[in-house]
Amino acid sequence: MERTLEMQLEESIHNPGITGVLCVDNNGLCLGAKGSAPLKACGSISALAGQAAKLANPNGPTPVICLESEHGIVLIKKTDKLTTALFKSS
Amino acid sequence: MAAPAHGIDRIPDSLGYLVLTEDGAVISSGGQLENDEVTANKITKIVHTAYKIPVTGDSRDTLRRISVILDDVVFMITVSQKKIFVSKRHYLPQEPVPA
Amino acid sequence: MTEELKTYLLKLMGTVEGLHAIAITDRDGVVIVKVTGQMAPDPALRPPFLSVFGVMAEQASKMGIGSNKRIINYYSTYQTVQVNHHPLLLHFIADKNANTGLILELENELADVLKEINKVVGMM
Repeated sequence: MERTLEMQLEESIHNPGITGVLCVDNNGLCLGAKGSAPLKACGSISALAGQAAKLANPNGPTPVICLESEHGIVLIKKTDKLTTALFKSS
Repeated sequence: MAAPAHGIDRIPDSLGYLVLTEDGAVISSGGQLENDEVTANKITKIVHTAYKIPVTGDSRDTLRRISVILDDVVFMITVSQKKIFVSKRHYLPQEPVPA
Repeated sequence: MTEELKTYLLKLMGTVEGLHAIAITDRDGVVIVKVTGQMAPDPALRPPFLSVFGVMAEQASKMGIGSNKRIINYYSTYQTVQVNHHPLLLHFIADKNANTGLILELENELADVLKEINKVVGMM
């Protein structure tokens, strides 16, 4: 059932610099993960995407959130029923 | 200006700025974000949530900067000395360079 | 200590949108500490509701896949997240649209509190 998602996750993790990918549903529950993604943060990731969406125009596209630390970057984007987080090393 | 803005008010091509306490009270503001407590509250929530997400596996590698990229503007957020600094700017994406 | 604990629980409750109540009970569902918001559904905080989880977890542990840790229930307007943290039980009552993942994360943030309560309960 989730083979297409697994394949997409597998594909994205093979991009250069990507250390982990995470897909979370609107309830903040993990749908799929690959690489070194923090499974404990699933709830925070979907909550963050929801909070950031409130800054945007409700009819426009949803925002991209970028968290940066010294050694890594997380990119988070919410789509209709899904929030995706990409973990990168910099 | 009475309240200290720590130079964030002098950022070139900025559309607005906010300086907040950890619990979201506005210390200083200007431009489009002048006295914008609604945005201030939303951003405070974002900051508190964002700090719960580990960027790398190393817990000492803490969050430095949050950017929220909307259609054509970007909110750049950082935390220093228990204050939240927010700058709203135009977003000019660089053309991707095919490798 | 109870006041301090309640303030802390209320603060945690505020971090999750749509979370209406947090209760910490012993394994029979007797309330040790609880905090509620204005929207909390009354029946969900009475002993009949709180005591049922202990039995549910016990039965769910008999399925041959190890002991039961958490039970999440979705109802038409509410959801409940209940965590078996032996010998204590944790109950969260929230709106059906609330972020379940975020509620589950609260369990980690409550770890220290639960340790303290455990010490007190252990003395009794």
